[in-house]
Amino acid sequence: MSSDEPSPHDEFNREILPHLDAVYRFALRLAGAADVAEDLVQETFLRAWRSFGQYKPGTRAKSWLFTICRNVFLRQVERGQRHSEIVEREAPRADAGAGDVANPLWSETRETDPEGRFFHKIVDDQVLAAIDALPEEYRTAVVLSDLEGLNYQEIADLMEVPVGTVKSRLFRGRRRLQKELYDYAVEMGYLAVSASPEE
Amino acid sequence: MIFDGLMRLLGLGGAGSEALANGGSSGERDGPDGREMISCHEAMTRLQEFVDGELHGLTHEQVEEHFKVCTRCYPHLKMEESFRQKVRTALAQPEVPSDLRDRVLQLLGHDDGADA
Repeated sequence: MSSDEPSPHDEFNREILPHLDAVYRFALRLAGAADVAEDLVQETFLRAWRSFGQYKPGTRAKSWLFTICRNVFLRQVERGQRHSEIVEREAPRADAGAGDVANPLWSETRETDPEGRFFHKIVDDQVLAAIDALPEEYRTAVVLSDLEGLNYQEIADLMEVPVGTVKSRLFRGRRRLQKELYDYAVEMGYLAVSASPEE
Repeated sequence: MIFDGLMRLLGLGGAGSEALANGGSSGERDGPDGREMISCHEAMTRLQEFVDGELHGLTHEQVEEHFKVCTRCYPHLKMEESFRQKVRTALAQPEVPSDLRDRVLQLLGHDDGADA
């Protein structure tokens, strides 16, 4: 073999390391605190390096790293405590969101702000706090979809659940977030409460 | 179609949208390419998938056409988009610690070739 062939170090640095920022942002949302997220990132990359021999070039490196990161996080949580976040029974709905199609928030906002402009008045930290308050299963799905743009199948593979469950988690997680942010906006006076919502 | 568009411009509501909401896709109204216009119920059911770009069984254009025409469903789409935009902006915020990359490289026993 020629000496020009890249070393595993070089390959790792080229293929895997560029995703460090994305892994950090994901870890931060999983862990909630910067110092814990940093430890999580370091552990993720250490494990990724140790199992780099199993990494197939061309597979989506970011998804691979997110999977490692989440597994490390969940193991830490398990070690520290029994997993206390119980997500409502989530029999995958064939048609997530079909049961309650109209957003319940809308009956509150349709008179004053039907297009949800109030969301933009909310500071980012408040949005992040609301995301962090979601159960891990919802939070992970929302972050992977809305921050990283992973598709349903990629999220399903990563979380090891069916696609229907991913849709359901995204739907419920987003509804919870919307309600949380709506309540905050009302409290802050960003949104006038509709005097008598119809229906 | 022209009539619906005109009604919408005049703020008088998408003709047929109310009827379709109750009755599902009636087939009375057709999309621009002759396909049957989907119902309000179907459009709302597919809202998340539409915004996520994950529609199956329907094309993006079919659902988009409904939201374009239906004054009743349109604000729901706008609200969802507004929410998503806010979430995306917030999630992209945190700064990555500047020395984290160096610490990871050190931990792995690599250098990244920057000084090679």
